[in-house]
Amino acid sequence: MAETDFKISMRDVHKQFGPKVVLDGFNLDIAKGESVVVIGGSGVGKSVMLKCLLGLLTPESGAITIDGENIIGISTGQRDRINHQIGMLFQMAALFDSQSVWENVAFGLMARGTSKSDARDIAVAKLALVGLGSEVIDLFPDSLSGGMKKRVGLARAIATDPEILFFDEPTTGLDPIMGDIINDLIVHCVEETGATTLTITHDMQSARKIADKIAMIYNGKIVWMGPTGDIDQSGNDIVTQFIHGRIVGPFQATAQL
Amino acid sequence: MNFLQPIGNVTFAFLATIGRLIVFTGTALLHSVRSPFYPRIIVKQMIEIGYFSLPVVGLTAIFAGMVLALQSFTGFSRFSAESAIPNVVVLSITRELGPVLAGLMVSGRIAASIAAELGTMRVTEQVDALTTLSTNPFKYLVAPRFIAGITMMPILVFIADIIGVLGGYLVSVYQLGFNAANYLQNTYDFVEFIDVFSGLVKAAVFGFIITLMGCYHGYHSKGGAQGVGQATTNAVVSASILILCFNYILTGIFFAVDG
Repeated sequence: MAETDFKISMRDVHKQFGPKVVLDGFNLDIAKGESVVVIGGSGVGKSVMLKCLLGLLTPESGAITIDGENIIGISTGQRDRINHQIGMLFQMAALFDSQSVWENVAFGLMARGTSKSDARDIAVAKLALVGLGSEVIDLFPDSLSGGMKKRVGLARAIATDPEILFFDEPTTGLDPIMGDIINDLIVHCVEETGATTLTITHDMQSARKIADKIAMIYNGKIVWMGPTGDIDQSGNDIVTQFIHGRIVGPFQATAQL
Repeated sequence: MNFLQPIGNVTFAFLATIGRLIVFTGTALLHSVRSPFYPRIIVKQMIEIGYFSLPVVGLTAIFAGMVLALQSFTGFSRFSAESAIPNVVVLSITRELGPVLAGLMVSGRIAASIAAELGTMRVTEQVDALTTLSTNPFKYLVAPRFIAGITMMPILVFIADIIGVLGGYLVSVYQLGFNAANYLQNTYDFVEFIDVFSGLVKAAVFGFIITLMGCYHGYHSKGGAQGVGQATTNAVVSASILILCFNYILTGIFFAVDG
């Protein structure tokens, strides 16, 4: 398939910081409506890949397209138009401290011209979708637990009904039960919105639950990608070591660096 | 030749910082004059920078005026020139002490606060979140602070001028025995438009420097709590030094214009 046939496509993307090469000929294609999870160890380039997609970092070379449209080196106005169809759940939720819960959720709506009262109504509905009632809407982020912050972050990500959702380590820092609740909410929200999703995580339980396909990143490249059900029979030493959390294996060399 | 390497590295790092600062300043100024604007945030920053800085600037000004009157009396009484005290007080306050002391005090308060706030937003990914929510961080975070700093500092300094002159008046009249009406008349007769105007121009420039340093260091902070702390320190130190440098430059310009 050509890159224009995919919702999201990254081809031969290179990104380095000084002498450190982070993405080294990175390729990833995601079809419309697909849920792809990228797994990999710390510092292998998962977050950098996501920031390149969001336009927060610019790769040295390669092509990144969304709906077949190149997104590298585009103007701020074009970037805003692309961002209109993207929702993002950050690792630590990244809620704005100075704004209440509903203002956080409604922020993207109001930035796009929705009136304050309409934006508040939509925010309340989205908060209900992630299991938060009216008692929290006027609270500020510093009075929320980690799990509640993630829920609010998720509500903010889906508030504008985006076509694409990015999740950065959605279960990091949560207990296993809350992590599973967030996983269920992500699956539920994706089903509701029909969005194309890309998630990066270390959490295999989370990956198995929310992914149609799993991709493994190592040394700046995707070394394996396949349906979630195939990961246990991937035949790839790096994938096998990672999903079983073994100390011995190809990852060890990286860890000792 | 190895000893040249660190010199070269430091030079390149310095030039890179200057380049980044120029690009940051240009981008911020451009976004400060182009829509969309965020009036609610601009007003909030004006209150923060202007209204909440009033107590510290007012206290600094009144004590500066009082000390100035006392010290001037000590010197001028040695050659029977005590009558020049109102003139010295008003000239020193409006041209120098008002803008410089207010600038340094506001620098400690506001540059630190802006750097800490933006730095925390940077390291907790709130700045990135703004971008993903179709909001330009320069327009939303930097431009309102620029506008508030440049507009509120002259107002603050104008008030500081009045309070500083009042400090000199109180000491001169109630401690040194000056005639109140004569003191005020002397002050009014001596002060010229350029004295006050030059101080207010300095104040606007200092407001620009304070918000620029706070925003620049906060926006580029990294490395968690330590990085935010470093950014805060750098913002206050660089703003204070730049205020003193630009005070000399602006004084030189006004000296040439006056002369």
